[in-house]
Amino acid sequence: MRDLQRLEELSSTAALGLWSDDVVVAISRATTGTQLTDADEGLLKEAATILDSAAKRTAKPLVTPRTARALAATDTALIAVAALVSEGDSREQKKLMTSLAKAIRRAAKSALEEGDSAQLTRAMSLFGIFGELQLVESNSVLTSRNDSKAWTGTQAISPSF
Amino acid sequence: MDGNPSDLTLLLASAQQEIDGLRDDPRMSSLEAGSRGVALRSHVLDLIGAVEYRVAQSPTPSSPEPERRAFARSMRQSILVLRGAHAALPWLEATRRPTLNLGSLYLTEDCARSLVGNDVDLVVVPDPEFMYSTTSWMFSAVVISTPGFVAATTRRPIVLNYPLSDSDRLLLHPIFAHELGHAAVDEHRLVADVEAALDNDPSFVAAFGKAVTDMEALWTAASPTQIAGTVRASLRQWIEELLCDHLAVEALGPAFLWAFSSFVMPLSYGVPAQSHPPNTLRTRLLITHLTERGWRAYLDRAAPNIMSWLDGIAADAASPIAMPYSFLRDQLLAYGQVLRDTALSRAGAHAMSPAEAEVGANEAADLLAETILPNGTHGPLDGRSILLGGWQHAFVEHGDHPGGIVAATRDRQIQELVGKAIEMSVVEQTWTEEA
Repeated sequence: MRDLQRLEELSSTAALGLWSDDVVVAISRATTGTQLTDADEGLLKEAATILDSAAKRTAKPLVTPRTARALAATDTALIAVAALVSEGDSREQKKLMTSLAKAIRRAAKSALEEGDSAQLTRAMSLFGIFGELQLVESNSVLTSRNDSKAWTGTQAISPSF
Repeated sequence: MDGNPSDLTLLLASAQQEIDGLRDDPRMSSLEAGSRGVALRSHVLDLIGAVEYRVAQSPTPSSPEPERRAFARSMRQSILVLRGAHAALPWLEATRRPTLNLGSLYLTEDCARSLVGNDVDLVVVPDPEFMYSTTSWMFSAVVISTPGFVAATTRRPIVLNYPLSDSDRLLLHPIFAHELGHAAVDEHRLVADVEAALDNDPSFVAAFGKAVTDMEALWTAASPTQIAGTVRASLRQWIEELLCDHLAVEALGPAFLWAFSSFVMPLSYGVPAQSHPPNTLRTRLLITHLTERGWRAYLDRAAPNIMSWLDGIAADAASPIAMPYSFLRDQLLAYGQVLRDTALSRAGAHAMSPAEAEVGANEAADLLAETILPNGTHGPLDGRSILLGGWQHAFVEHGDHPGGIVAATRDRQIQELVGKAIEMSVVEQTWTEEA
């Protein structure tokens, strides 16, 4: 069996889901005025960076994240944003991601502005969808055989000979 | 809706059950310090610790709904990974009763130290699936994704998987060096090094852009961004596989080429895959690397007909293949020197030297011809030379042709002698050093 590969894939997929759910919690704390920890601030900054990266990826092919995790995160972010923006217009998606990234950055600095509350609620929905997608993926990794993926599928993390 | 009080009660109870199931399993009992599997066990305990850390941050019923739902999802993710972690239990059991030939195990541990570093915990386990594979730091993604939790494990656990039937087929075990290459690539971020060299060359950047443009006509449903991301992901995987081949050559020399040919050529010839380059390309780059490192004369002397056969396979690397595979192949052939330099740099002083190894390999082959344990007449031979000599003698016994390379791996007597000789050589060297 290919459990060795699937185990690393499961761990990577789950970690991305855990991260997005931690982002939801951090945003929730920021919106309710709870004192943010260093970890919360770090998560919020990472979330804003992922949204910025995802927004850039819609424009230029060679702007590609360097790590497998960042690549997977921006891919998932794009899917989650597409689910959130009913219009399906890539310009609207890019605009939304950039706007959410800015609001999240202000939340990380505890410097919220008027209108940020609504944006942060949308951001929680976005990363909530992100978390749900990753949970589906984790279940799929654990319960299915490691069939070869299509070209557009998520890259395998650990190869065999 | 998920995250309600009943849902959270269920999830916390379930997570605890999975934690108890792992922690109380007899196979998780403590191991003697320094023995195989200690870091793997510690890594599993880190996973458990990370989940317990999350459990301790359970929201209250009055917490905002998004927080409760996010926590519920994180518990479900944690439970999935804990269930997956049960796969580690048979590995831990295998450390107490290793089935791999001891000589091969010693040689593989030596390769691990050479390619990955001294701080590794190697667990080698048989698998009913007929494939070699590896994994290391298998739960680290989850552990490091737990903000505030500090892991205890610093030593890299590596699990090597081999076909159940191959425990004493020593001549195929150079494949382990390729598998350890994956851990080396990860530990030392070697793919990023190679990728950086490519990306710093404007001609590669231009070629990449052109490949994406060309692919738009073929993958009409995908955006340029998706195409670029997919090709980039495959490029990284091909680089990793090729780096592992090159590292294996640095670790074990021609023995890897012969083991590789015997194992993979019956599976596939020139067909590329998303994760793996075609075997024609792998063979070509292997021969180029071995030639550059001074092995060509030895290869031609030890098995001239087999080299002629392999040269033919290497020539077929230029055969037409579809895009984007042709782009990947052409670029990696053009930048083969980067792969070779990166592998040699990683192996450093541990790189196998033809001048030294050939003398030992000849002696081992001569001893095997007399059915004498080939561990050296004037002192212990190096294990890598013994393995090389084993192949050399096997060609004499079974023929210098593609059928002979397969028959060699079925010869139990040669492989038993080679394994025992490596084991005795390591014991003697260790005894001499300690004395």
